[in-house]
Amino acid sequence: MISHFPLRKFISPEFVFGVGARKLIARYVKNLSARKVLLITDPGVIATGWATEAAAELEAKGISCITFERVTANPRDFEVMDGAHIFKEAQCDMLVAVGGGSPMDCAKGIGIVASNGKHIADYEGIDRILFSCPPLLCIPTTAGSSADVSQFAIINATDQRKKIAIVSKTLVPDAALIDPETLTTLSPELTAHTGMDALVHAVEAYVSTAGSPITDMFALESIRLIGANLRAAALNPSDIELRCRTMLASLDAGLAFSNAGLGAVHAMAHSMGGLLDLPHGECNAILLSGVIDFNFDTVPLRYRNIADAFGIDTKHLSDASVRQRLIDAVLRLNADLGIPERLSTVGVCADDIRSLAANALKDACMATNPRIPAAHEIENLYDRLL
Amino acid sequence: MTDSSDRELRHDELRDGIAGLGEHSIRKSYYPELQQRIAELERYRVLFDQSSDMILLLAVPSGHILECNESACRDLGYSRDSLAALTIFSLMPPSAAEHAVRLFAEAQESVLKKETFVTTFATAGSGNLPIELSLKTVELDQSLFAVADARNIEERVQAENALRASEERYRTLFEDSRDAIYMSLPNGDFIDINQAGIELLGYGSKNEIMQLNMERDIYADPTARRQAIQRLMNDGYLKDHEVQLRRNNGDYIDVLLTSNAMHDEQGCIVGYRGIMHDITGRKKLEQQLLHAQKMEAIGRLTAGIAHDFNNILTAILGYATILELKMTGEGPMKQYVRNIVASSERAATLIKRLLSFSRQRPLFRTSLDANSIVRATGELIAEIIGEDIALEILPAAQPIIINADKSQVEQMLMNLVMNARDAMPQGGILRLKCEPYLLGDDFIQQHGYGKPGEYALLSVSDTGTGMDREVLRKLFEPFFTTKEVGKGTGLGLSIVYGIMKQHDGFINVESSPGAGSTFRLYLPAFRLDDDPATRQASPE
Ligand SMILES: [Fe+2]
Repeated sequence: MISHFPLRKFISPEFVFGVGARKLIARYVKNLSARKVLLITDPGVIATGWATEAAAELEAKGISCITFERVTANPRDFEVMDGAHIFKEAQCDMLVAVGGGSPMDCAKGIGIVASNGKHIADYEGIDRILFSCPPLLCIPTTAGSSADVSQFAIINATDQRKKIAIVSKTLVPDAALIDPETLTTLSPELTAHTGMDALVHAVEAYVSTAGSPITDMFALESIRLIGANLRAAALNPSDIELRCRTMLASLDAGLAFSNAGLGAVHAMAHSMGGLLDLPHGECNAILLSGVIDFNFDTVPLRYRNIADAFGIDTKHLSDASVRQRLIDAVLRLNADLGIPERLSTVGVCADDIRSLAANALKDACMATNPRIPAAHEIENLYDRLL
Repeated sequence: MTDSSDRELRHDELRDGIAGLGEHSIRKSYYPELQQRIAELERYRVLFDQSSDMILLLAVPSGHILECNESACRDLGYSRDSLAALTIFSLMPPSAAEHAVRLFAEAQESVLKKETFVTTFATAGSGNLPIELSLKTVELDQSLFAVADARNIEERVQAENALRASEERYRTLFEDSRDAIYMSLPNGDFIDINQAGIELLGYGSKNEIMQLNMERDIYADPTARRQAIQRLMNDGYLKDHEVQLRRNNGDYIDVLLTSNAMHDEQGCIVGYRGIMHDITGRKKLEQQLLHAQKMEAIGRLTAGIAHDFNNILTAILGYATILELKMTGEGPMKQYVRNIVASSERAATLIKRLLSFSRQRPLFRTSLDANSIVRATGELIAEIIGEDIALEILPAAQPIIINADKSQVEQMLMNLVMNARDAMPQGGILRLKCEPYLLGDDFIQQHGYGKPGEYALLSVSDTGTGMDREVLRKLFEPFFTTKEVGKGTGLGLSIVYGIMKQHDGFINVESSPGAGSTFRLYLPAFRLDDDPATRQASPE
């Protein structure tokens, strides 16, 4: 490496973090001069009441609002197109996403189509968006996806049975209202999945080839917070202090990976989500130990720091021991959170591996993985975790 | 090796892309799009400003000017800011402003359809600009506005005024023309006629004449109009075409008609326009002259013939007288000779009259009272007219002194009285009248001859058969007679005419079939303060 300080960019949205942040929704909508809002959410979030509360808050402040809730986990391209159609028809001028990664990615997709026309799949890749999307305000209700601060939108292209990654700095939302209180309705299962997603974000950002000292800071802090609090948060859903810590961990991870990029875990998880429609966080959690094992020797020092942040005392330990301790710690956390150890448990078959590996290799996230894998190496990874 | 380094290169590129180091990577910004939109708006602004119409965006219902284009500022002489401080109502005259206020009030209830009307805008220079104003409401952001499009119609109004002035000028030309100018439909109904035309045809008002039809009511001979139109069609126009028209009072006038046809866009004839120049006076003068020339020629001719004929007659009479003297005793032969003598003497008398007609005989003028001639003639004729004719002799109350040949004037009157008698086979009234007459310009204008002054007017009227126009026209021609062959010579009225000429007088006749006739003789009279001695008779 020529320098320890290669060119790096850091972009973060305006965000308000803290209990009650969500209640600033009307102020933000007004300050962005919006008159008609399309509120994107999903049935799960509707059930918790956060979406309804947000819509009511807008109406109370005299802002008309249309709620679009036909969004599934791993948002589909046609859902995006439907939303964009409604956005245009109703002459909306702002997007508000209330929910986890799915509604937020869907809202980004709707914004892209609303400003740029064409089909959402036409924008797959890096820097393909010509016109900025309408103003987007995100109110995350999970502590994991970090789509509220990231430059990524992952959409399920149904006809290709794969997830497409749309990467652009213009996808970073205009503002995020990050309110830990929304996590109090999160189920232990989703708490586990999203929490592990955040951990993977932090780990992959920290070992990413596009990382920087700035993103490193956020990544390590995120790993520390998750290692110390995730178990407890999953066990005590209504403990607001714990929720604040996991929410902050997710935010830190988001700021890190949005700027530093991800790695093989996400590339392989996207592939599984696209082909088998599996929960994103859960796939990440199962894949993480295998990818650490695969990458470790390329950037051992980085993984040592991760292990440190994760609460493992690495002093006087060899690299091999650090590798094993870290993998064990990840597996133990998964087990404690009730996440299965093997891919076959969530429904992956041996027959799927070839195409899963092929798609994973083509995923944009793979580009910043510290070790560039060959197809058979990916296949081996899947195979060992089956 | 090449393979893996290629892959590494691709990965580096992807990595930089994700890191946001790509060529076009920038955080979300609306500025580029904003600039594009601003450029678009600028183009619309140019359209808006370049419109030659004044365009205003107005608040409803207050009428406040929110936006205006450059044409509005320029034409009204305001800056954008000062115009934006006004309402549209303040630019308009009160009645138009009230109308606009009402429209705006109604527009709040229901959508205003585009409303266009002509009014004026007050300019900063306190002028008034004529405009055609279109108002239309529009809804923007759920608020009601109005767009006013005011078209400057100053030029149009000026053009209209110029046209009106031009029309006025032509109307004046039309109305003030001394010649009659008219327009008529193909069927002859009047479209228009000027004052000179109304006067020429003797009507009191245009309304009266507009009810008439040229062919039916104006042309003396209806077929003459059709002939004139035929000629117009052949030549494309009529120039100085002579026609005779009938005036309101029944008089006939001669006019020269210059006319052409009026066409519609398809080229069909929709009417005729024409100028009529009255030549009645000139015609009469021409006729007078012609008559005088005729008389002159006949006079010279008869003088020559009469002289020779008189010599021959003298010889016949001489030899017949010798023959009568030589024939002694009575017998049929002697009676034949006496008949020859008597016939010759009658012939000699006729010759004398012919010579008189041909001015061979000088006048023996004396100053005398015209009334005395009338009285003397009246006494003379009382015996010779039938009992079924009532005679009225009406001398003037005062003496009217004329310088005339008494016997000649008597002869004239006799001549006219005989004609009057013959015109009343079933009886009637014969009036012989003498009155003073002041001949003025109106007379000259009406008849085409005459000399202003005081006259003794001797008139002979009957209530008899009257004469038609054809007869009247030839009345004074020598050898013209309506009497049976052998009953009249046809010289009577020619002689009357000649005598009047010798006396510097005039004669005319008024007559129509069934309405009797009146002959009027105008003989120059001495004014009372005139010294008769200074008034010399013209030498013969
Ligand atoms: Fe993720």
